[in-house]
Amino acid sequence: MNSTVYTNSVTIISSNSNSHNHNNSANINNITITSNSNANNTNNLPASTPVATNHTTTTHITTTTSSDTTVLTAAAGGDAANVPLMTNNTSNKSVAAFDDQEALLQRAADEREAIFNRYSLGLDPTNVVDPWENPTFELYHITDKYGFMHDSRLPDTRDSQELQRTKIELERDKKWMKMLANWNPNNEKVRRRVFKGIPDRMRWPAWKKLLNVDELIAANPDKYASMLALARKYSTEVRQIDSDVNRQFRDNVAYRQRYSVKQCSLFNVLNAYSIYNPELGYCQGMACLAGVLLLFMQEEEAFWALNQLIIDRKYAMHGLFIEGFPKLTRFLEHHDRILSKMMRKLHQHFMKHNVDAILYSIKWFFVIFVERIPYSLALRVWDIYLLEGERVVTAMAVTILYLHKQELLRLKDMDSIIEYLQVKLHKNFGYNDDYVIEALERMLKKLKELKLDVAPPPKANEFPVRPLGQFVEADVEKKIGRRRSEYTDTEKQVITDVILRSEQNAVEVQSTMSYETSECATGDAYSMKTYRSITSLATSPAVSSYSLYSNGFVVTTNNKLYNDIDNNAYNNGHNHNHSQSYLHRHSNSYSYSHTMLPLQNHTDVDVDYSNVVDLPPDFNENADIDDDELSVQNTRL
Amino acid sequence: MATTARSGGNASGSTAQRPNGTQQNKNCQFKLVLLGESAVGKSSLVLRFVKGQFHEYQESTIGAAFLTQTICIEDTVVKFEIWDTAGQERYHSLAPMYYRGAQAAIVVYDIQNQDSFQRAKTWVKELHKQASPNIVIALAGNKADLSNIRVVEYEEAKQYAEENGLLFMETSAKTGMNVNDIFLAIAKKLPKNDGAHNQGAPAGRRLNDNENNRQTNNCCK
Repeated sequence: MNSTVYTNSVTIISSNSNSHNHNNSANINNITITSNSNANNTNNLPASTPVATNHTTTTHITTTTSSDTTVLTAAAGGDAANVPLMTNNTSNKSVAAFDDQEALLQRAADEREAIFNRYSLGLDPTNVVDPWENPTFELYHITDKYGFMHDSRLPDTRDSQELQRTKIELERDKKWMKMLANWNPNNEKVRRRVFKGIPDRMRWPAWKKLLNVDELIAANPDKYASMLALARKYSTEVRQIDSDVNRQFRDNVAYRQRYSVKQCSLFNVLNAYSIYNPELGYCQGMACLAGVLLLFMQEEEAFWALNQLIIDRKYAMHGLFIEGFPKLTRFLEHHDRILSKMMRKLHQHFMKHNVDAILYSIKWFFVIFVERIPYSLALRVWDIYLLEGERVVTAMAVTILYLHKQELLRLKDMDSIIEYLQVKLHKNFGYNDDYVIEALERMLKKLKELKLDVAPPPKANEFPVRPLGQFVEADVEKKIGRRRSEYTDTEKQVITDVILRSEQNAVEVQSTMSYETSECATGDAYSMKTYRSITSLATSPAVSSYSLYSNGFVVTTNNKLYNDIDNNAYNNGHNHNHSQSYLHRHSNSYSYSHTMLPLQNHTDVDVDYSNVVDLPPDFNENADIDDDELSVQNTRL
Repeated sequence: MATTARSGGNASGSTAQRPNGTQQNKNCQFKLVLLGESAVGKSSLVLRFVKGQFHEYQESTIGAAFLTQTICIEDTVVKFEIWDTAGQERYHSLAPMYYRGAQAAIVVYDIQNQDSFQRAKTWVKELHKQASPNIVIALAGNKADLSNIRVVEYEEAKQYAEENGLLFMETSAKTGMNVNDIFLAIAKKLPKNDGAHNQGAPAGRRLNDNENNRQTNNCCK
């Protein structure tokens, strides 16, 4: 809560001890802290955890108790002169001068250490938390089978449907046990059973198989432990991760208690990962992903599972979370494209009310629908996502809108539309899970037929450039946690992009009426729209022509470009989807260079997708999906 | 509280008309954006203002959240379209999308956290540089219920706000202190001209007849 740590009379006495060489070539100094704990403040951890670190090197800290002063034994790589000798008397309120870099570095190191210490103590009784951090709750009556708590007491007896499901799951458990023992992810049986839903008790082994977790751990022994050790000394994301762990899934028993085992695991996994993949670091949203994984896995397993989601080409979430969110932009554009082709009425309705996809779908893409649809349904979508990869996200997004199209068309302003998609569907989706998954399966098929299932290919900037797991020390600004006052070039680009998107939508709103009656409403709407928005923005100094070019908004059609990328992933995605997923499932660890290779060819290629996406002629004439096309036995609740 | 906030975000049903059918109230719609460092309580302020609730463990905002609330001042019904943004620096680049065309902004900091106050100052600077020239900016020192462990002094923030022409209040989403008041103060300061229909314009958007029909006036006597 209070991030300022204060230390009482810190004195470094000795600076003579041996130094280690860590296997990641980081220099580590041993610092032993003998902490002051008089009777009055043993229970007041922030005050009684004196922390002093040598900010140029790092620390192994052991805390013991003694008298009134804090004694530090430090060593600095054999060079005792490097260790600053200091006596600090800082109080909670005296904040270091903001231009004093040394002090700021020290403060950041102190803060990192203090936060880590609290997670190390975990549920230890000396780790006293503020009363508000641990709520009281009527635990057993309001908790569902996934550990999530509800506002009111759940029914004492399970209904017949629930009993029936349990019976079926018990049967499925046996089949899954057998299947897991002879695991072959390309077996059609696996696919069928995943779509039926992995039984709750089988999710742990099944998700591990789908994400290659055991192989990754075997191939990288001790890697996680070393990343975590480095994080403890160098993580610059500690404060943000701490504040997010403190509010992630607090309505789940596993995360309910402050510094519970799972909270500590979540904190560790995210910090270790920020070191493992320094180009990504930590981005809000990752806590939710790791939080879900940890509900089914152990700490180290969750680390590798998270890595797989971020790095493996099948999921490639790296590009979603890095600065500038390049994959988000790409997927939003693809989402818009699908809407304009398949659900034009709804798309125009959204645009009329300024409902940009970024407003309702960011969590769909970032955390795979968690907290936007009921948890049980989200798990079913995760099952399929882990098997089939990112095209499931694209399809599920459209499925949600498709299933709720009529209700959404009835809502006549932005706030009720957003409320419906962000809040209402989470509380009650309105259809049972099986029904939704059947609709999703049909949507996947439909999108594939229309060659819309796979988004346009990623650019090289969606993938890490440097090898993973090699420690890179953060720069001073990052260590201090000082914000940049100016936007980076990437950020400026994003700003241009998001403004361009909303500008485009504004143009679309104005022209909706005229398009509806003109021929533009059919085949050529996309390029017309692009042309119009470029014209409207041409006079705006805020938008550089570079940004228009680099975002795939080209006015002229260039089929050659499309042919040029014939051998790339985009085409593979369309025509050889099966073999592509085969490859993914068989890669035992992420392969960084093979991930990058096919992308090099088209890094700077811009494609006008209005010509790439060939719709069957009859589809254009009647753009909205016929309600019958995806309908299954209506099991509306 | 001075303001009479209507509970619930969805306006539907009754109209802004007197029983005799004459139109009495002006209706204005303003876009308001919340900015500030992560975990200072932006979402909690909005939740308190819009729904009157407080969650100890408000989930972290990914991207941005959108809510609306309608209040009345004198003869005007003011509808706030509130954009609650994510605080992590990485999401900074999405912020212009939300403050673009906004008529009002609340820049939030945590009175226990000096960094968050510094961050608030950078937001103010950015808004002065990039946002609509007439944007009304309020500075909110949140978590005022914890003023016994404050780090940012009231006077310091007050002075900064005065020097920069900002409204200023210390707020507590937890107790509700000054939450409605700060929104009300903003509403009072916003120009409520007739005829201003353009969303990008500094003046409030006067609702057209069609939108008027969705307004409720149960907060106005």
